[in-house]
Amino acid sequence: MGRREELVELAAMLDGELDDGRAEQLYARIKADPELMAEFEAQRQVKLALGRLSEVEAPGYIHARVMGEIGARRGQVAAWRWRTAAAFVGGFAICLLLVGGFLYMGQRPAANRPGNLLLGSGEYYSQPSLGREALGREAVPPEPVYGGELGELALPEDVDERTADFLRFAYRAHGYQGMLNSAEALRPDLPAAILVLEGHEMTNGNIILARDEGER
Amino acid sequence: MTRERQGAEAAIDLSEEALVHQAAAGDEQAYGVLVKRYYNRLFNFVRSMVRNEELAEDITQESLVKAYFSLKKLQNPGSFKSWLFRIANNNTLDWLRRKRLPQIDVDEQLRESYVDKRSSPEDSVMDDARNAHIHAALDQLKPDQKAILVMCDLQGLSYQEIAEALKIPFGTVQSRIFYARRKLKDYLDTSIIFGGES
Repeated sequence: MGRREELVELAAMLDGELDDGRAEQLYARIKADPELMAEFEAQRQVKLALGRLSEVEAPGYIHARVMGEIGARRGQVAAWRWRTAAAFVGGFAICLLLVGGFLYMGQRPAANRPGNLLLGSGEYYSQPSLGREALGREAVPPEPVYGGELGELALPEDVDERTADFLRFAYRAHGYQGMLNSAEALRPDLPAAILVLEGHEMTNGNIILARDEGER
Repeated sequence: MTRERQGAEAAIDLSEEALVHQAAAGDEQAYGVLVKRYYNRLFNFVRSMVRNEELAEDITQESLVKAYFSLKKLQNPGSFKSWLFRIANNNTLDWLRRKRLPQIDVDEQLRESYVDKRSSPEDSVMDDARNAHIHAALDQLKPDQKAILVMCDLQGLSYQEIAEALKIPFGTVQSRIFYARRKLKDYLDTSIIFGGES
């Protein structure tokens, strides 16, 4: 065993941490070695000095303070758990409502979607802003594929291509007869029309009319 | 150690383990018993480290509260005492690092302790002077050296308990205690401490 280990073991011996056999060996070494003896004595004196430090009685209210604080924090934790659970349930319910709403909207006919306007006859018209958007921007696909079962919509020659695309779109979306009925209710002075609302006011003539002689 | 004493200690340990189990399950009364058992020792440990009673109260309280809410993490209930000291030690060292106690003029304190000793004939004053001198010497040590000596020589923790509290090997505890005492010896005036009686 090296010198350093021997020295370090002096502390353990002093603290009763060595087994009996090792303690006896070291004690024999201490008696034979003045340097070890001096070191052991120094360690002993320090331990003795620290042992003489008087301890104080901790204030009794620490116990009450600790238990009170634990109770208070438990209450906070419980409240936090409730709030978290409530927020989670609320959030989940909102998500369910949103998902349900989107699913419902996806299954409704196009004419029933918000943004369309229900007229007195029970038919629907697109709101002006939607019509304008469709006319002015990308809402109308460049290659319209409307028609199909309803047949092609006959349009006057003076209708420009973009308007014609939109009219075909409206025709598909609202159904021919429904559009005519509503157009007549709106503008009884006009013989037949497919209404495409361009302005903000539906009833002040801010509309584009397209005669459909063939179907009528 | 006699067999009866071993048996009695085992019974105490068992009951402490049972208390720790109950407290970990949320039994505040069981934890209250543990708090009663240890708050005084923890307080004195922290007080020796920070040398400020109010602060020692706060750190002791915080350590015991923190321990309660961390009890489920304690894997070996038999190590409750070491674990509690570890929490208190960490809290104390954290506090010392973060807040920085008002700097104590250690040399001044050492000088005062000499003056006190010479100027007062009363025993209580002698005790105060001796305590002040030892504390002033302890303050010269690094916090971890101070902590290990306070745990060992003031609180009487075993090397194994200190090893668990500080999460260091047994052999390291042994060498740290040796070197900490050796260093402390350099700052102590044994004539003040023992007055020629050692």
